[in-house]
Amino acid sequence: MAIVSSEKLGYQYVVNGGSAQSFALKDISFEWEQGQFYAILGAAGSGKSTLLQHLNGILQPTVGRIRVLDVMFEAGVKQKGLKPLRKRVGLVFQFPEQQLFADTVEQDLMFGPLQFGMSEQEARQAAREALHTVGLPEAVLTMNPFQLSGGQMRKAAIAAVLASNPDLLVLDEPTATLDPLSRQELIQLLHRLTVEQGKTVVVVTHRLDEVLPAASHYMLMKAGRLVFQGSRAELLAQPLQLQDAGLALPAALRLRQLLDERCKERSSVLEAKGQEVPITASEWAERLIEVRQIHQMRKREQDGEQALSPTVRSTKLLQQQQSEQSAELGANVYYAITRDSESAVRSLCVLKGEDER
Amino acid sequence: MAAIIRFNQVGFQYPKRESMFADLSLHIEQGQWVTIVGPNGSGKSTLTKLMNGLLAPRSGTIQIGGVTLDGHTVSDIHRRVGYLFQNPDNQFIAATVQDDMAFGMENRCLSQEEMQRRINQVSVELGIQDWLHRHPSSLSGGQKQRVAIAGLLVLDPEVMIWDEATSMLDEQARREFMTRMRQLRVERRLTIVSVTHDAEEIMASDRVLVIKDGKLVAGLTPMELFVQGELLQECCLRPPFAVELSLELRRRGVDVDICRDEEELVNALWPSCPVKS
Repeated sequence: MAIVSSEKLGYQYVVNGGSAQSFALKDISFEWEQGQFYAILGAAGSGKSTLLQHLNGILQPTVGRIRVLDVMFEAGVKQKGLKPLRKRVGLVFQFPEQQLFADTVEQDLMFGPLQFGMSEQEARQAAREALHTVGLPEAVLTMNPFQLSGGQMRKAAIAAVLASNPDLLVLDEPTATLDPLSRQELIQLLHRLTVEQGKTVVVVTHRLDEVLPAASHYMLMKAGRLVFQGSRAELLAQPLQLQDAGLALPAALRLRQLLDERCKERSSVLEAKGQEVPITASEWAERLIEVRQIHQMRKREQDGEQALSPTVRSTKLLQQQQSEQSAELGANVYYAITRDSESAVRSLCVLKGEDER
Repeated sequence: MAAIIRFNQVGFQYPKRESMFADLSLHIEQGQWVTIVGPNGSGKSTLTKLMNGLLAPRSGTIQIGGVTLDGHTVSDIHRRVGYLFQNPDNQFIAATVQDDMAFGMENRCLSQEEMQRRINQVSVELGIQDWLHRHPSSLSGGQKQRVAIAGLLVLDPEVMIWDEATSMLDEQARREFMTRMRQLRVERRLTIVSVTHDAEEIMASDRVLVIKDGKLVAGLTPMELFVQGELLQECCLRPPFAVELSLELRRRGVDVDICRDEEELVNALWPSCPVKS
């Protein structure tokens, strides 16, 4: 069963003392499965953060409904007694300093577990484990949270949420203001939590580039509506929709588009490989080299053909075939292309191959 | 070109902590866009706060446009050097966006008409007209930062300091903003000092200063920085995708120049490809 499911969820902010109303969310329907990594994408003001606040009942729907684990939030029905839910849904807000308040990091990390009924001893243990998970040294336990660097503070805030051992971990722009290396580390950490501990991770972000290697499912929001949901490959097939939602295209997709525009031939080779668009620089490097090699080979063949007479060409192709015959049979087919002389050679080779068998 | 910011043997120390800068000398030329990078905790933000008098040096002198920063000149220098914080919530004072933009100008004794004119102009520039009567806290993170930027622009500063200031903007807003900054810099001969980790933003700047262990260890171009793997790692930076890919290709024996962006890279790899006009 999906761990979160939403049906036509809508949320209306009341402004100016109720005289004016504006929809922050409209008609949102989705289902989230356990152990998956979800990315919610959208520009500023698209309603991403408003949606997040529905996940542990900080905000409750004004239209439709959303079920989070075993709690159903429905428009018009105010849910109370949400402590058990909040233990299981960890929310990390945009600025970690908003979430840290105690004198020491240890107290901050123990706060959740103690609130949710663990003993002092258990809470201390949970704090240590959470600290270890996010990769902070134990030395920070006795430090004041505000002595930490921005990246460390972010990790401490995430550890404070992890210490309560939530099933669902929801983070609002978790990498904002972090340096690029810490960002990469953080996304990798979250990915590990889904794989190793079966946690469900939801990240709200406007940086598609950095979640692309990790997130398996994507939701695209625009002006309070869900305009896309699907897999990575499905998302990457929708560059226009990404731009329309105010998102920067990831570098990998920009490169792909350039190849499409400029060199149809090359990009068709990319496609012919039947693989997903490469994401990282090293994946791209491998693929570009492959494309170049295939292209050069084709070009050589074409140039060679033009210079030689049909007879010589057939002979050459035959020689080529023979020299490769010993290597592998599958290679034969590659050189059997379309033109007359080649078709001739091809039939010859096929016959020859049959003879040998 | 004249130096607009000059540090002479500056020393600085936070109370009860180790000395951050002992003997720091540097200068930034007028009209330049300079990025400051360095390992975490190396004092990048501290350095920029010294530049507009938010912090005072323990020793040495700091000059802004030839004026030595001290108790008498600090309020003037505050006006000339605008500081944009990482977290826009630290920048708001008033109850509406418009009042917040007016706040800085009120301290400069501008006429009501002039203030209104500037608010209108800048709010159109940044596309925030519709929010002028909203409370800053009702805006999303990215929207808040745009308002904070507007609050600075109405003061017409000579130097602008960005302390990770665009990190909360969404990509489109950030790009628009960068384009605008390039324009402003030319039009108003604005000097920009930026602390950022963003590869594209670093690439857009003229010069990079690397701060490490309280010292200026390098002053170089963005491209010179991005090809120095070790230095990048130390500063917790990653190169732009195109640079990373160029380097990966070279590592695999492909003879290609290091390219700034994807377009350059495709041109370099396949010069025969028809270039889109």
